[in-house]
Amino acid sequence: MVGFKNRFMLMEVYLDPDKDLLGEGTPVILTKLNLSEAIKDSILVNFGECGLASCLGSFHVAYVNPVTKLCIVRSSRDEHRRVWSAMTLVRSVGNCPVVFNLLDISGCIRACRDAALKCETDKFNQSGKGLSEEEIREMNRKMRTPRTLEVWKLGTVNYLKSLKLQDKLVSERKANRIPDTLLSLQHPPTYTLGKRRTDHNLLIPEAELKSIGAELHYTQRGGDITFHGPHQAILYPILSLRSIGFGARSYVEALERSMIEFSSLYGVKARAGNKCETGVWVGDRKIGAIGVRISSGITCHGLAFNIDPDMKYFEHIVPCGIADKEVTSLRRETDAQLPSEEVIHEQLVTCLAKVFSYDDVVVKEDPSAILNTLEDDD
Amino acid sequence: MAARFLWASRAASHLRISVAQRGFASVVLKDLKYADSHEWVKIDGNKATFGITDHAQDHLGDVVYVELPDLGRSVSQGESFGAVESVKATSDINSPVSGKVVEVNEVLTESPGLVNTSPYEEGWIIKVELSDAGEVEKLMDSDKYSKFCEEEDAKH
Repeated sequence: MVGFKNRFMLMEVYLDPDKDLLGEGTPVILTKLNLSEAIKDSILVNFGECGLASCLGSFHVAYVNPVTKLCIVRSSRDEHRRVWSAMTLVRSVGNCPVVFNLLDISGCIRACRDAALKCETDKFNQSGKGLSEEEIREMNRKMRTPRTLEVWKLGTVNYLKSLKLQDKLVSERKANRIPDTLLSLQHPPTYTLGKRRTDHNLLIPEAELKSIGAELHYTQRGGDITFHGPHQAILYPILSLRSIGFGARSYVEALERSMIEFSSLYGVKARAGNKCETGVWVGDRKIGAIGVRISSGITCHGLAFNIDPDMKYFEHIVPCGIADKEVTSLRRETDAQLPSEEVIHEQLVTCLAKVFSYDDVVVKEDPSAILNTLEDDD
Repeated sequence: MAARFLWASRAASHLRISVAQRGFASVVLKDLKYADSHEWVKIDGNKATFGITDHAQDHLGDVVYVELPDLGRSVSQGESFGAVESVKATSDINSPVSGKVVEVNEVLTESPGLVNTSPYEEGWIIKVELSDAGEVEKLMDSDKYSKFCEEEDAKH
Protein backbone atom coordinates (compact mmCIF):
# COMPACT_ATOMS: atom_id res chain seq x y z
CA MET A 1 0.00 0.00 0.00
CA VAL A 2 1.49 3.35 -1.00
CA GLY A 3 0.18 6.05 1.30
CA PHE A 4 2.37 8.85 0.14
CA LYS A 5 3.15 9.56 -3.50
CA ASN A 6 6.51 10.93 -4.57
CA ARG A 7 8.01 11.91 -7.84
CA PHE A 8 11.69 11.37 -8.54
CA MET A 9 13.16 13.63 -11.20
CA LEU A 10 16.36 12.82 -12.99
CA MET A 11 18.01 16.06 -14.06
CA GLU A 12 21.11 16.86 -16.01
CA VAL A 13 22.95 20.03 -15.05
CA TYR A 14 24.76 21.95 -17.78
CA LEU A 15 27.52 24.03 -16.23
CA ASP A 16 28.43 27.32 -17.84
CA PRO A 17 26.43 26.70 -21.04
CA ASP A 18 27.34 30.03 -22.61
CA LYS A 19 30.97 29.74 -21.73
CA ASP A 20 30.83 32.92 -19.67
CA LEU A 21 33.43 31.87 -17.17
CA LEU A 22 37.01 31.86 -18.18
CA GLY A 23 39.51 29.35 -16.99
CA GLU A 24 39.89 25.62 -17.26
CA GLY A 25 38.55 22.78 -15.27
CA THR A 26 35.14 22.42 -13.70
CA PRO A 27 33.85 25.78 -12.47
CA VAL A 28 31.88 24.33 -9.57
CA ILE A 29 31.71 20.93 -7.91
CA LEU A 30 28.09 19.87 -7.62
CA THR A 31 27.12 18.63 -4.21
CA LYS A 32 23.80 17.77 -2.60
CA LEU A 33 24.10 20.87 -0.47
CA ASN A 34 24.75 23.47 -3.13
CA LEU A 35 22.17 22.02 -5.51
CA SER A 36 19.61 21.87 -2.76
CA GLU A 37 20.30 25.49 -1.76
CA ALA A 38 20.09 26.68 -5.36
CA ILE A 39 16.76 24.94 -5.95
CA LYS A 40 15.28 26.14 -2.69
CA ASP A 41 16.32 29.71 -3.45
CA SER A 42 14.65 29.41 -6.82
CA ILE A 43 11.42 28.13 -5.28
CA LEU A 44 11.53 30.99 -2.77
CA VAL A 45 12.03 33.62 -5.46
CA ASN A 46 9.41 32.25 -7.83
CA PHE A 47 6.77 30.86 -5.50
CA GLY A 48 7.27 32.78 -2.29
CA GLU A 49 7.68 31.55 1.25
CA CYS A 50 4.41 29.70 1.19
CA GLY A 51 5.38 27.90 -2.00
CA LEU A 52 8.71 26.96 -0.50
CA ALA A 53 7.14 25.74 2.73
CA SER A 54 4.68 23.51 0.93
CA CYS A 55 7.46 21.90 -1.13
CA LEU A 56 9.96 21.60 1.68
CA GLY A 57 8.45 18.61 3.41
CA SER A 58 9.33 16.11 0.73
CA PHE A 59 11.99 17.96 -1.18
CA HIS A 60 15.26 16.11 -1.07
CA VAL A 61 18.24 15.81 -3.37
CA ALA A 62 18.70 12.07 -3.33
CA TYR A 63 21.73 11.66 -5.55
CA VAL A 64 24.33 13.86 -7.19
CA ASN A 65 27.15 12.78 -9.44
CA PRO A 66 29.60 15.67 -9.90
CA VAL A 67 31.38 13.89 -12.75
CA THR A 68 28.41 13.09 -14.99
CA LYS A 69 26.42 16.11 -13.70
CA LEU A 70 23.31 14.03 -13.09
CA CYS A 71 21.13 14.42 -10.06
CA ILE A 72 17.96 12.84 -8.73
CA VAL A 73 15.56 15.06 -6.85
CA ARG A 74 12.59 13.82 -4.86
CA SER A 75 9.41 15.79 -4.40
CA SER A 76 5.88 14.95 -3.37
CA ARG A 77 3.56 14.27 -6.29
CA ASP A 78 1.40 17.24 -5.41
CA GLU A 79 4.29 19.67 -5.52
CA HIS A 80 6.52 18.22 -8.17
CA ARG A 81 5.45 20.57 -10.94
CA ARG A 82 6.35 23.50 -8.74
CA VAL A 83 9.74 22.05 -7.95
CA TRP A 84 10.29 21.17 -11.61
CA SER A 85 9.49 24.72 -12.74
CA ALA A 86 11.73 26.16 -10.08
CA MET A 87 14.59 23.93 -11.16
CA THR A 88 14.15 25.00 -14.76
CA LEU A 89 14.39 28.60 -13.60
CA VAL A 90 17.61 28.11 -11.63
CA ARG A 91 20.17 30.43 -13.16
CA SER A 92 23.26 29.64 -11.16
CA VAL A 93 24.79 27.32 -8.61
CA GLY A 94 27.36 29.20 -6.60
CA ASN A 95 29.07 31.51 -9.08
CA CYS A 96 28.58 29.28 -12.05
CA PRO A 97 25.74 29.78 -14.52
CA VAL A 98 23.76 26.56 -14.97
CA VAL A 99 20.86 25.14 -16.91
CA PHE A 100 18.81 22.20 -15.67
CA ASN A 101 17.41 19.69 -18.10
CA LEU A 102 14.86 17.06 -17.08
CA LEU A 103 15.71 13.59 -18.35
CA ASP A 104 13.23 11.37 -16.59
CA ILE A 105 10.51 11.46 -13.99
CA SER A 106 9.06 8.49 -12.15
CA GLY A 107 7.15 7.45 -9.07
CA CYS A 108 9.79 5.26 -7.52
CA ILE A 109 13.47 5.71 -6.88
CA ARG A 110 14.22 2.40 -8.51
CA ALA A 111 13.07 3.41 -12.00
CA CYS A 112 14.89 6.70 -11.66
CA ARG A 113 18.03 4.97 -10.55
CA ASP A 114 17.90 2.63 -13.54
CA ALA A 115 17.48 5.60 -15.90
CA ALA A 116 20.37 7.38 -14.20
CA LEU A 117 22.59 4.35 -14.53
CA LYS A 118 21.77 4.07 -18.22
CA CYS A 119 22.56 7.76 -18.82
CA GLU A 120 25.78 7.55 -16.90
CA THR A 121 26.90 4.42 -18.69
CA ASP A 122 26.20 6.08 -22.05
CA LYS A 123 28.14 9.17 -21.02
CA PHE A 124 30.98 7.11 -19.72
CA ASN A 125 31.12 5.07 -22.92
CA GLN A 126 31.02 8.17 -25.10
CA SER A 127 33.68 10.17 -23.37
CA GLY A 128 35.57 7.51 -21.45
CA LYS A 129 38.81 8.56 -23.00
CA GLY A 130 38.20 12.19 -22.16
CA LEU A 131 37.84 11.71 -18.40
CA SER A 132 40.86 12.00 -16.17
CA GLU A 133 41.93 9.09 -13.99
CA GLU A 134 40.59 10.80 -10.93
CA GLU A 135 37.22 11.48 -12.50
CA ILE A 136 36.88 7.85 -13.57
CA ARG A 137 37.67 6.68 -10.05
CA GLU A 138 35.18 9.16 -8.62
CA MET A 139 32.50 7.96 -11.01
CA ASN A 140 33.02 4.31 -10.22
CA ARG A 141 32.68 5.19 -6.61
CA LYS A 142 29.52 7.20 -7.13
CA MET A 143 27.81 4.83 -9.54
CA ARG A 144 25.72 2.55 -7.47
CA THR A 145 27.56 -0.69 -6.90
CA PRO A 146 25.38 -3.55 -8.10
CA ARG A 147 23.97 -5.64 -5.28
CA THR A 148 25.72 -8.95 -5.14
CA LEU A 149 24.75 -12.08 -3.28
CA GLU A 150 27.54 -14.47 -2.44
CA VAL A 151 26.35 -18.07 -2.26
CA TRP A 152 28.12 -20.76 -0.24
CA LYS A 153 27.19 -24.29 -1.33
CA LEU A 154 28.01 -26.36 1.71
CA GLY A 155 26.47 -29.81 1.28
CA THR A 156 25.54 -31.51 4.56
CA VAL A 157 26.70 -29.63 7.63
CA ASN A 158 26.41 -30.47 11.30
CA TYR A 159 24.02 -28.04 13.01
CA LEU A 160 26.40 -26.69 15.64
CA LYS A 161 29.04 -26.05 13.02
CA SER A 162 26.57 -24.13 10.93
CA LEU A 163 25.70 -22.01 13.99
CA LYS A 164 29.37 -21.21 14.52
CA LEU A 165 29.79 -20.32 10.88
CA GLN A 166 26.75 -18.08 10.97
CA ASP A 167 27.99 -16.26 14.09
CA LYS A 168 31.28 -15.60 12.36
CA LEU A 169 29.62 -14.39 9.16
CA VAL A 170 27.20 -12.15 11.04
CA SER A 171 30.11 -10.26 12.66
CA GLU A 172 31.89 -10.06 9.32
CA ARG A 173 28.75 -8.70 7.65
CA LYS A 174 28.16 -6.21 10.45
CA ALA A 175 31.72 -4.90 9.98
CA ASN A 176 31.03 -4.76 6.23
CA ARG A 177 33.94 -7.08 5.47
CA ILE A 178 31.76 -9.40 3.42
CA PRO A 179 28.81 -8.79 1.08
CA ASP A 180 25.32 -10.22 1.63
CA THR A 181 25.91 -13.96 1.92
CA LEU A 182 23.66 -16.98 1.49
CA LEU A 183 24.42 -20.42 2.90
CA SER A 184 22.82 -23.29 0.95
CA LEU A 185 23.01 -26.59 2.82
CA GLN A 186 21.34 -29.56 4.48
CA HIS A 187 21.61 -30.96 8.00
CA PRO A 188 21.82 -34.48 9.36
CA PRO A 189 18.66 -35.36 11.34
CA THR A 190 18.34 -32.50 13.84
CA TYR A 191 15.52 -31.08 15.94
CA THR A 192 15.83 -27.42 16.84
CA LEU A 193 14.01 -25.11 19.23
CA GLY A 194 13.63 -21.35 19.06
CA LYS A 195 14.22 -18.66 21.65
CA ARG A 196 11.00 -19.48 23.47
CA ARG A 197 12.31 -22.99 24.21
CA THR A 198 8.99 -24.66 23.51
CA ASP A 199 10.28 -28.12 24.31
CA HIS A 200 6.80 -29.27 25.30
CA ASN A 201 6.31 -29.67 21.55
CA LEU A 202 8.90 -32.45 21.44
CA LEU A 203 6.82 -35.63 21.85
CA ILE A 204 9.55 -38.10 22.67
CA PRO A 205 12.01 -37.89 25.56
CA GLU A 206 15.35 -36.26 24.73
CA ALA A 207 17.17 -39.43 25.66
CA GLU A 208 15.42 -41.34 22.89
CA LEU A 209 16.63 -38.96 20.19
CA LYS A 210 19.99 -40.66 19.88
CA SER A 211 18.33 -43.98 19.18
CA ILE A 212 16.53 -42.52 16.18
CA GLY A 213 19.76 -40.91 14.99
CA ALA A 214 18.86 -37.30 15.73
CA GLU A 215 20.31 -34.37 17.69
CA LEU A 216 18.50 -31.59 19.56
CA HIS A 217 19.65 -27.96 19.67
CA TYR A 218 18.38 -24.82 21.38
CA THR A 219 18.81 -21.66 19.31
CA GLN A 220 18.16 -17.92 19.42
CA ARG A 221 16.01 -17.85 16.33
CA GLY A 222 12.32 -17.01 16.24
CA GLY A 223 9.74 -19.73 15.76
CA ASP A 224 8.88 -23.02 17.41
CA ILE A 225 10.28 -26.55 17.19
CA THR A 226 11.19 -27.96 13.81
CA PHE A 227 13.05 -30.82 12.17
CA HIS A 228 15.92 -30.60 9.69
CA GLY A 229 17.25 -33.58 7.81
CA PRO A 230 18.55 -34.97 4.55
CA HIS A 231 16.56 -34.00 1.45
CA GLN A 232 15.40 -30.79 3.01
CA ALA A 233 16.85 -27.67 1.37
CA ILE A 234 18.05 -25.08 3.86
CA LEU A 235 18.98 -21.48 3.10
CA TYR A 236 20.57 -19.20 5.69
CA PRO A 237 20.75 -15.65 4.32
CA ILE A 238 23.23 -13.42 6.16
CA LEU A 239 21.98 -10.05 4.98
CA SER A 240 22.12 -6.48 6.15
CA LEU A 241 18.46 -5.50 6.46
CA ARG A 242 19.34 -1.83 6.48
CA SER A 243 21.08 -2.01 3.11
CA ILE A 244 18.15 -3.81 1.50
CA GLY A 245 15.62 -1.59 3.23
CA PHE A 246 13.58 -4.34 4.90
CA GLY A 247 12.16 -4.68 8.39
CA ALA A 248 11.66 -8.02 10.13
CA ARG A 249 8.16 -8.53 8.81
CA SER A 250 8.94 -7.64 5.18
CA TYR A 251 12.04 -9.84 5.33
CA VAL A 252 10.07 -12.87 6.48
CA GLU A 253 7.43 -12.17 3.82
CA ALA A 254 10.16 -12.08 1.18
CA LEU A 255 11.46 -15.46 2.39
CA GLU A 256 7.93 -16.83 2.05
CA ARG A 257 7.66 -15.41 -1.48
CA SER A 258 10.97 -17.03 -2.43
CA MET A 259 9.62 -20.45 -1.47
CA ILE A 260 6.27 -19.83 -3.14
CA GLU A 261 8.01 -18.79 -6.35
CA PHE A 262 10.19 -21.89 -6.18
CA SER A 263 7.19 -24.18 -5.66
CA SER A 264 5.52 -22.76 -8.74
CA LEU A 265 8.42 -24.05 -10.84
CA TYR A 266 6.97 -27.48 -10.21
CA GLY A 267 3.37 -26.46 -10.58
CA VAL A 268 2.81 -26.53 -6.82
CA LYS A 269 0.47 -23.76 -5.68
CA ALA A 270 1.88 -22.72 -2.35
CA ARG A 271 0.73 -19.83 -0.20
CA ALA A 272 1.99 -17.82 2.74
CA GLY A 273 0.72 -18.76 6.17
CA ASN A 274 -2.14 -17.01 7.93
CA LYS A 275 -1.52 -14.90 11.01
CA CYS A 276 0.61 -16.79 13.56
CA GLU A 277 1.22 -19.54 10.99
CA THR A 278 4.30 -18.15 9.28
CA GLY A 279 5.69 -20.44 6.67
CA VAL A 280 4.69 -21.77 3.30
CA TRP A 281 1.66 -24.02 2.91
CA VAL A 282 0.05 -26.12 0.22
CA GLY A 283 -3.56 -26.17 1.28
CA ASP A 284 -3.41 -27.16 4.95
CA ARG A 285 -0.06 -28.87 4.71
CA LYS A 286 3.20 -27.13 5.55
CA ILE A 287 5.96 -27.41 3.00
CA GLY A 288 8.35 -24.68 4.07
CA ALA A 289 9.37 -23.36 7.49
CA ILE A 290 10.96 -20.09 8.55
CA GLY A 291 12.90 -19.13 11.68
CA VAL A 292 15.07 -16.06 11.72
CA ARG A 293 17.28 -14.09 14.05
CA ILE A 294 18.11 -10.43 13.52
CA SER A 295 21.01 -9.01 15.45
CA SER A 296 22.08 -5.39 14.88
CA GLY A 297 20.22 -5.48 11.59
CA ILE A 298 22.01 -8.60 10.28
CA THR A 299 19.95 -11.72 9.63
CA CYS A 300 20.86 -15.32 10.34
CA HIS A 301 19.06 -18.66 10.36
CA GLY A 302 16.47 -18.64 7.57
CA LEU A 303 14.26 -21.10 5.77
CA ALA A 304 13.85 -24.84 5.30
CA PHE A 305 12.01 -26.32 2.33
CA ASN A 306 10.98 -29.99 2.28
CA ILE A 307 12.07 -31.65 -0.93
CA ASP A 308 11.76 -35.32 0.08
CA PRO A 309 12.75 -35.77 3.74
CA ASP A 310 11.87 -38.79 5.84
CA MET A 311 8.46 -37.68 7.11
CA LYS A 312 8.49 -40.11 10.05
CA TYR A 313 10.80 -37.71 11.92
CA PHE A 314 8.02 -35.11 11.94
CA GLU A 315 5.80 -37.46 13.91
CA HIS A 316 7.92 -36.91 17.02
CA ILE A 317 7.13 -33.20 17.25
CA VAL A 318 4.25 -30.78 17.01
CA PRO A 319 5.82 -29.01 14.01
CA CYS A 320 6.14 -25.27 14.64
CA GLY A 321 3.78 -25.71 17.58
CA ILE A 322 0.78 -25.97 15.26
CA ALA A 323 -1.14 -29.10 16.12
CA ASP A 324 -3.34 -31.03 13.66
CA LYS A 325 -1.78 -29.58 10.54
CA GLU A 326 0.20 -31.91 8.32
CA VAL A 327 3.69 -31.52 7.00
CA THR A 328 4.30 -32.19 3.33
CA SER A 329 7.12 -32.16 0.79
CA LEU A 330 7.74 -31.30 -2.84
CA ARG A 331 7.87 -35.01 -3.64
CA ARG A 332 4.39 -35.49 -2.22
CA GLU A 333 2.86 -32.48 -3.90
CA THR A 334 3.94 -33.06 -7.45
CA ASP A 335 4.17 -35.97 -9.88
CA ALA A 336 6.78 -34.09 -11.90
CA GLN A 337 10.18 -35.63 -12.36
CA LEU A 338 12.46 -33.98 -9.79
CA PRO A 339 15.98 -33.09 -10.97
CA SER A 340 19.07 -33.69 -8.85
CA GLU A 341 19.19 -32.03 -5.43
CA GLU A 342 22.01 -29.80 -6.55
CA VAL A 343 19.82 -28.40 -9.29
CA ILE A 344 16.91 -27.98 -6.88
CA HIS A 345 19.10 -26.04 -4.43
CA GLU A 346 20.29 -23.80 -7.25
CA GLN A 347 16.73 -23.10 -8.36
CA LEU A 348 15.75 -22.18 -4.78
CA VAL A 349 18.75 -19.84 -4.54
CA THR A 350 17.81 -18.22 -7.85
CA CYS A 351 14.25 -17.63 -6.66
CA LEU A 352 15.49 -15.98 -3.47
CA ALA A 353 17.96 -13.79 -5.40
CA LYS A 354 15.13 -12.72 -7.71
CA VAL A 355 12.71 -11.88 -4.88
CA PHE A 356 15.39 -9.85 -3.11
CA SER A 357 16.36 -8.09 -6.37
CA TYR A 358 20.02 -8.99 -6.40
CA ASP A 359 21.81 -7.94 -9.59
CA ASP A 360 24.49 -10.59 -9.31
CA VAL A 361 24.80 -14.02 -7.77
CA VAL A 362 28.36 -15.19 -7.17
CA VAL A 363 29.22 -18.69 -6.00
CA LYS A 364 32.02 -18.79 -3.45
CA GLU A 365 34.99 -20.94 -4.30
CA ASP A 366 35.61 -23.83 -1.95
CA PRO A 367 33.58 -22.70 1.08
CA SER A 368 34.17 -25.97 2.92
CA ALA A 369 37.70 -24.80 3.61
CA ILE A 370 36.25 -22.17 5.96
CA LEU A 371 34.21 -24.83 7.73
CA ASN A 372 37.34 -26.81 8.43
CA THR A 373 39.11 -23.82 9.94
CA LEU A 374 36.14 -23.37 12.27
CA GLU A 375 36.79 -26.83 13.63
CA ASP A 376 40.39 -25.88 14.31
CA ASP A 377 39.30 -22.84 16.29
CA ASP A 378 37.95 -25.05 19.06
CA MET B 1 15.99 30.24 8.80
CA ALA B 2 14.47 27.05 10.13
CA ALA B 3 12.03 28.95 12.29
CA ARG B 4 10.92 30.91 9.25
CA PHE B 5 10.16 27.74 7.36
CA LEU B 6 8.24 26.36 10.29
CA TRP B 7 6.13 29.51 10.36
CA ALA B 8 5.65 29.29 6.61
CA SER B 9 4.59 25.61 6.88
CA ARG B 10 2.02 26.52 9.48
CA ALA B 11 0.84 29.45 7.36
CA ALA B 12 0.55 27.19 4.34
CA SER B 13 -1.50 24.61 6.20
CA HIS B 14 -3.68 27.30 7.75
CA LEU B 15 -4.40 28.71 4.30
CA ARG B 16 -5.12 25.13 3.21
CA ILE B 17 -2.46 25.10 0.56
CA SER B 18 -1.14 21.58 0.18
CA VAL B 19 1.41 20.79 2.80
CA ALA B 20 3.32 17.54 2.69
CA GLN B 21 1.41 15.71 5.39
CA ARG B 22 2.82 12.25 5.47
CA GLY B 23 -0.30 10.70 6.85
CA PHE B 24 1.10 7.25 7.25
CA ALA B 25 4.33 8.25 8.95
CA SER B 26 5.05 6.65 12.27
CA VAL B 27 4.39 8.42 15.55
CA VAL B 28 7.37 10.23 17.03
CA LEU B 29 6.95 11.86 20.44
CA LYS B 30 8.55 15.21 21.08
CA ASP B 31 9.99 14.86 24.56
CA LEU B 32 11.83 11.58 24.00
CA LYS B 33 15.29 10.80 22.69
CA TYR B 34 15.97 8.21 20.01
CA ALA B 35 18.69 5.77 19.02
CA ASP B 36 19.36 4.85 15.41
CA SER B 37 18.45 1.25 16.16
CA HIS B 38 14.89 2.51 16.77
CA GLU B 39 14.67 2.59 20.55
CA TRP B 40 13.23 5.55 22.51
CA VAL B 41 14.42 6.84 25.88
CA LYS B 42 12.60 8.93 28.47
CA ILE B 43 14.95 10.58 30.92
CA ASP B 44 13.70 11.29 34.44
CA GLY B 45 16.51 12.62 36.62
CA ASN B 46 19.03 9.82 36.61
CA LYS B 47 16.50 7.16 35.64
CA ALA B 48 15.74 6.25 32.04
CA THR B 49 12.85 4.27 30.62
CA PHE B 50 13.09 2.72 27.20
CA GLY B 51 11.25 0.75 24.60
CA ILE B 52 11.06 0.44 20.84
CA THR B 53 9.54 3.11 18.62
CA ASP B 54 6.36 3.03 16.59
CA HIS B 55 8.49 2.77 13.42
CA ALA B 56 10.22 -0.32 14.83
CA GLN B 57 7.05 -2.09 15.92
CA ASP B 58 5.48 -1.40 12.54
CA HIS B 59 8.41 -2.98 10.71
CA LEU B 60 8.52 -5.94 13.08
CA GLY B 61 4.94 -7.10 12.85
CA ASP B 62 2.97 -8.61 15.72
CA VAL B 63 5.23 -9.21 18.70
CA VAL B 64 4.65 -12.62 20.26
CA TYR B 65 7.45 -12.71 22.83
CA VAL B 66 9.73 -10.27 24.63
CA GLU B 67 12.94 -11.46 26.22
CA LEU B 68 13.59 -9.30 29.29
CA PRO B 69 16.97 -8.94 31.01
CA ASP B 70 17.49 -9.75 34.69
CA LEU B 71 17.21 -7.04 37.33
CA GLY B 72 20.53 -5.59 38.37
CA ARG B 73 22.15 -6.45 35.08
CA SER B 74 24.25 -3.70 33.54
CA VAL B 75 23.66 -2.55 30.00
CA SER B 76 25.86 -0.43 27.73
CA GLN B 77 24.98 2.00 24.99
CA GLY B 78 24.62 0.24 21.66
CA GLU B 79 24.79 -3.26 23.13
CA SER B 80 21.96 -5.76 22.96
CA PHE B 81 20.09 -6.43 26.22
CA GLY B 82 17.07 -8.42 25.12
CA ALA B 83 15.03 -9.42 22.13
CA VAL B 84 11.54 -9.34 20.70
CA GLU B 85 10.07 -12.13 18.64
CA SER B 86 7.58 -11.50 15.88
CA VAL B 87 6.56 -13.57 12.85
CA LYS B 88 9.25 -16.20 13.38
CA ALA B 89 11.97 -13.55 13.62
CA THR B 90 13.77 -12.62 16.82
CA SER B 91 15.24 -9.13 16.73
CA ASP B 92 17.76 -7.89 19.26
CA ILE B 93 16.94 -4.72 21.19
CA ASN B 94 19.93 -2.48 21.79
CA SER B 95 20.33 -0.26 24.81
CA PRO B 96 20.32 3.46 23.95
CA VAL B 97 22.22 4.35 27.14
CA SER B 98 24.42 2.63 29.71
CA GLY B 99 23.25 1.83 33.20
CA LYS B 100 21.88 -0.77 35.57
CA VAL B 101 18.50 -2.41 35.09
CA VAL B 102 16.23 -1.45 37.98
CA GLU B 103 12.84 -2.44 36.63
CA VAL B 104 11.47 -4.57 33.80
CA ASN B 105 7.97 -4.56 32.40
CA GLU B 106 6.75 -7.98 33.52
CA VAL B 107 3.36 -7.34 31.89
CA LEU B 108 5.02 -7.93 28.52
CA THR B 109 5.54 -11.61 29.35
CA GLU B 110 1.77 -12.08 29.39
CA SER B 111 0.90 -9.42 26.83
CA PRO B 112 3.74 -8.94 24.37
CA GLY B 113 1.29 -7.26 21.99
CA LEU B 114 1.47 -4.09 24.09
CA VAL B 115 4.70 -3.32 22.25
CA ASN B 116 2.65 -2.96 19.09
CA THR B 117 -0.43 -1.23 20.47
CA SER B 118 1.28 1.13 22.90
CA PRO B 119 5.00 1.31 22.13
CA TYR B 120 5.62 4.52 24.09
CA GLU B 121 3.41 3.94 27.11
CA GLU B 122 2.32 0.50 28.24
CA GLY B 123 4.85 -1.17 25.94
CA TRP B 124 7.89 0.19 27.80
CA ILE B 125 10.48 -2.49 28.20
CA ILE B 126 12.96 -1.64 30.95
CA LYS B 127 13.99 1.14 33.33
CA VAL B 128 17.65 1.72 34.11
CA GLU B 129 19.69 3.89 36.44
CA LEU B 130 21.94 5.96 34.19
CA SER B 131 25.64 5.49 34.64
CA ASP B 132 26.68 8.28 32.29
CA ALA B 133 24.24 11.15 31.72
CA GLY B 134 26.51 12.52 28.95
CA GLU B 135 25.58 9.63 26.67
CA VAL B 136 22.15 11.14 26.10
CA GLU B 137 23.84 13.79 23.93
CA LYS B 138 24.67 11.12 21.37
CA LEU B 139 21.00 10.32 20.82
CA MET B 140 18.67 11.96 18.30
CA ASP B 141 15.82 14.29 19.17
CA SER B 142 12.37 13.79 17.70
CA ASP B 143 12.94 15.90 14.57
CA LYS B 144 16.22 14.22 13.70
CA TYR B 145 14.69 10.82 14.32
CA SER B 146 11.68 11.55 12.09
CA LYS B 147 14.02 12.55 9.30
CA PHE B 148 16.14 9.45 9.92
CA CYS B 149 13.08 7.22 9.55
CA GLU B 150 12.07 9.02 6.37
CA GLU B 151 15.53 8.52 4.88
CA GLU B 152 15.47 4.84 5.78
CA ASP B 153 12.03 4.30 4.30
CA ALA B 154 12.94 6.17 1.12
CA LYS B 155 15.71 3.70 0.46
CA HIS B 156 13.44 1.33 -1.36
